[in-house]
Amino acid sequence: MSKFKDKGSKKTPGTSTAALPDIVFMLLFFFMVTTVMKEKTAKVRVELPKGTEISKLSKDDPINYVYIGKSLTPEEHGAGDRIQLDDDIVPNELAVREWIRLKRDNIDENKLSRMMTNFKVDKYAKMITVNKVKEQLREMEALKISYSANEKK
Amino acid sequence: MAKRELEEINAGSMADIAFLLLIFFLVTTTMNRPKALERSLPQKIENPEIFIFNERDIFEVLVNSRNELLVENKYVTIEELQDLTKEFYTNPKGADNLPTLVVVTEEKCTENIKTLEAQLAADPENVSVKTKLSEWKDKLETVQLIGTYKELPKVAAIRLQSDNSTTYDIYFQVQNELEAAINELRDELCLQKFEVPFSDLNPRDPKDQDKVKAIRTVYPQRIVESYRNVGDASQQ
Repeated sequence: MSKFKDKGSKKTPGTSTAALPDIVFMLLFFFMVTTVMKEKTAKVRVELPKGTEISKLSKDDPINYVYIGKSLTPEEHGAGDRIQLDDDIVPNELAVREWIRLKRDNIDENKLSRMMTNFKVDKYAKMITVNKVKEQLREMEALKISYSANEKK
Repeated sequence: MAKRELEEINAGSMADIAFLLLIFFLVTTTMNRPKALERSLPQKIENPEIFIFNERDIFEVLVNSRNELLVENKYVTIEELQDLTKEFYTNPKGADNLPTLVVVTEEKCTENIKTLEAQLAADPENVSVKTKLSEWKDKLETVQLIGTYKELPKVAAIRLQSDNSTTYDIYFQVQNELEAAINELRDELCLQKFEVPFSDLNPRDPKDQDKVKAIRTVYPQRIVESYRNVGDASQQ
């Protein structure tokens, strides 16, 4: 009977990869939505303190990052607590002024009031460095700040 | 002319492109959004107004260079700070070393607004009257929303002083505990009045804005920082 064909002569069809782009795009969109861009890479050693009252920062507010801690390359930048603004370690806190000025020039007018400076400070850093930076921020009237921390378990 | 069929675009490399993008995003992004404690710095004022305050209205928190905590001239541990802060804000036993809370009622608000408006009509440029008026208007809104409440004196504040060589960790812990105390008080009040915790209210949502403002009026976050060098308290 012709209903029973010889099975041996038929090859298994190759798996269709037509849906593969769809799957990958789905994954892509998932990651685009759930993640945020990495901020700058720290050039100082920062071990964040732990806190319970911390909250997620708003995603669309402009945030500037200040890192304070011991330099990872002390032979280049010297020992002691160093200040890193974005990507560069700066010699002293006075650089904060120029940095804030530049930041202000580069953002939207209507976002200016929401600009925030985020401190990522090593838990073993001394307050003197932090206070110096805060004092400069006050000079520049960049008054919104926040202290980064990890969630206490 | 013969009908020509449109050739289909080969989508075979689509997957490769998507993979490339995917890998790019995997590498450049992070999963956990940074979390932080928000604060605002005090404005720089050339000629600061001098407030006359009682010692009882100030909640003094000192952290010295050896990371010891001194609250109202007593050595305490970080765990005790939260309860002490709450006590300062509410003064439940009416202790005379803590601020005296004043009851705010609707009548009192309307009365004050009336007198202030009369004053403003006589002297429309008076800034201090203007600010007072807006303060009382805020209070009136609060009373209308949550009923009579006890109010901290205007000058009452937490004064946080840290030494230059205090480590950041303990400073952050102190800030965290102060925040925890205030948040807990606000949560309590909010649950009692609106049956939702304060943290569930969204200050950007116009529906919640009034509630948030009212709760904040009752329990204001007043943390004053001073940079004077604390020195080593035990050496004095």
